[in-house]
Amino acid sequence: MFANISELIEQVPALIKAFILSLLSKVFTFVLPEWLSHILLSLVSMILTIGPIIGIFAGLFAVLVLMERKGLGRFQNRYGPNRVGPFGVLQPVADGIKMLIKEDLIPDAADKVVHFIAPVVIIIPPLLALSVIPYGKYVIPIELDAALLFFFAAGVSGELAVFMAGWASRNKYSVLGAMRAIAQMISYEIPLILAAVPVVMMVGSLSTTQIVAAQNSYISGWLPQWYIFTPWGLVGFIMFMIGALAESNRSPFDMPEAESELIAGHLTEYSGFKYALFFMAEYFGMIAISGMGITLFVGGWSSPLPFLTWIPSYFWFGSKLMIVLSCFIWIRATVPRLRVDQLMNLAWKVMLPLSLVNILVAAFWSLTSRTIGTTFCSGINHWAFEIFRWIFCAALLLGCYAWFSHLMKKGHPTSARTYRYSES
Amino acid sequence: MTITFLISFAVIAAVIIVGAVAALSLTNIFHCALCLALSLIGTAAFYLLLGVEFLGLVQVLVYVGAVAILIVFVILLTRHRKDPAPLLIPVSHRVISGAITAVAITGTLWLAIFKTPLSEFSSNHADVKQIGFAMAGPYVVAVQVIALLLTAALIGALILAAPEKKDEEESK
Repeated sequence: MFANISELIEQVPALIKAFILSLLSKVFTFVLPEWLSHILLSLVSMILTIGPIIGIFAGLFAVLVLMERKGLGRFQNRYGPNRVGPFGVLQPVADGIKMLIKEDLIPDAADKVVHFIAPVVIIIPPLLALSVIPYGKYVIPIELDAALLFFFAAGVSGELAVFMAGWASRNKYSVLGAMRAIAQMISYEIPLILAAVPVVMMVGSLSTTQIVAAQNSYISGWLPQWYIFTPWGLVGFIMFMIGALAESNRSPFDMPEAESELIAGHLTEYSGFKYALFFMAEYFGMIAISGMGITLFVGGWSSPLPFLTWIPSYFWFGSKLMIVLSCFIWIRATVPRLRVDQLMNLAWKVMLPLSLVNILVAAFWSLTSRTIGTTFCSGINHWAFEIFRWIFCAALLLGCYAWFSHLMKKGHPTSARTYRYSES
Repeated sequence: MTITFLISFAVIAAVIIVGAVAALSLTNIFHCALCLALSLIGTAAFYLLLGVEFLGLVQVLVYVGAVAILIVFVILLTRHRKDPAPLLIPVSHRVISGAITAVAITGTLWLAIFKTPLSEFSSNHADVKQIGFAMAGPYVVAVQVIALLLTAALIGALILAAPEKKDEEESK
C-alpha cells in the first residue's frame, strides 16, 4: 500500500501529461478531422514537455537570484535586498518589471542584426542542455541514446553567441570580454569532457538514463554506488565542477565579465530585457551543468540511502541541485577572481593532464572490478582488496596532482605583480 | 518516406543552402562565418534526421564548437580594411578557375557517391562500445594517422609560439 502511494507520487508528472493528452484527444475527435488532431496532439505533447522546462527553471532562476543576492549580502556582512515584500522575497518580481520597462539601448555603430540575434541565440543552448537531464525516475524531457554528447554539443554552440554579442557591440570592452570568454570556454571544455569520459567508460553508454540506472544500487545494502565514492569519481567530480564554474563564467572564473576591469565584457552594450536574457542564459547554463554533474557522479535522482527510496526521486534530484548551486554561490563569495595566465595554466597544465591520468585510473578500476568478480569470491578478501585499490588509486591521483602543480610552479614562480604600462 | 520527413528535409536543405550561399556572397566576413556555422548546424540536423545521432552531434561539437570558433578567432586577430580589397585577378580568369574547381569537385563527389554500394542503415543508435571497437579495430590505422597529424600540428603550434616569449624575456 505504502509502496504503491510512493510509486504514484513518483509518476505524478508523467500522469498529469498523459491525462491532459487523453482529455484533449477526446475533445479533438469531436471537433477536428483525424489528421489535424494527430498533428495538434503531437504539438501539444511537445509543448507539455518544453513548457515545464522553461517555466520551472525560470522560477528557479528567480529563486536563485534572490538566494544569491541575499547570500552574498550575508557573506559580506550586510542585509542584501530587504525592501520589496517580506524580507525582500519579492525582489525578483521587481527586478523583472524593471528589466521589462527599461530602455533598450543599441549603440550607433553596432551591427544591429547580430546585436539583436545574440541574446536570442544564447538562451537556446542551455535550454536544450536542460532537456536531456533525468530529473526523476519517470521525468526526463527527451530520452536520447547519445544524451551526454547532445549536452556537450549544446554547450558548445553557446560560445558562438557570446562572441556574436561581443563583436556586434563594437566596443573594446565587449570584444576583449568575448575573446577572454572564448579562450576560457575552449580551454575548460576539454577537461570538462574528459572528466565525464570515465563515467561513460564504466557505464558503456552515453545515455543519461543508463548512467543514473548504473548508480542506482547499494553496496552491502547501505552505501550508494555513486561514482563520487570512487577515487576517479571524486577527482572527476571536482574537475567537472571546476570546469562547470568556468563554462558558466562564474566567479572565480568570471574574467570575461569582470565588472571591475571590463565593465561586464560582452554584456556592456546590452540593457533591458536583452541583458536579462544573457543573465538568464548564465543561470540556466549553471543549472544545466550542475544537473549533469549530479547525473554523472552523484547518482542523479537516486536516493542516498535505500530506506529513503519512498521519497520521490525528483525531490532527491532537486535537493542535490540546490546543494550544488549553493556551493556555487558560496565559492563566488569566497574565492577571488583568477588572472588570465593563471586561468590558462590551470586548465592546460593541471586539469588536462590530471583528467587524462584519471581516465587511466578509471580503466584500472574497471579492470580490477572484473577480477574481483572472478578470483576473489570470498567475502574476507573482498573488502581488504576494495580498500587497498581505493587507497592505491587515490594515492596515484594525488601524486600526479602534486607533481603537476609542482611543475606549474617551477615554470611560473609566484612573484609580485609588475606593471609595465602604468608606471609613470 | 513520410510527409513529415519530406517537410523536415526541405526545411533543413533550405537552411544549409541559404547558409552556404550567404557565407559565400556576404561582404562582412563575420556574417560569413556565422552563416557558415548555420550551414554546418543544418548539416548536423540532416544527420540527425537520417537517424545517425552520434555523427550529427559530433558534427556540432567539432564544426560549430571548434572550426567555427577558430574561424571567428582568426577574423578577430587579423587586420581588417574598411574598403574592399582591389581585385588583382581579372574576372574572366576567376570565372574559368571557378568553373574548373566546381567541375573537379562535383566530378570527384559524383564518382565517389556512385561507386559506393549503398545499403540500408541497420543500427541507428549511438552504441559507444561498437564505435570504440570499430576505432580500435578496423579503423585503428586511420585513428593513429590522425593522432600523429594532430600531435605534429600541436608541436608546430608550440614551436611557433615559444621563441617569441624567450625574446621578450631577453629584451627585458
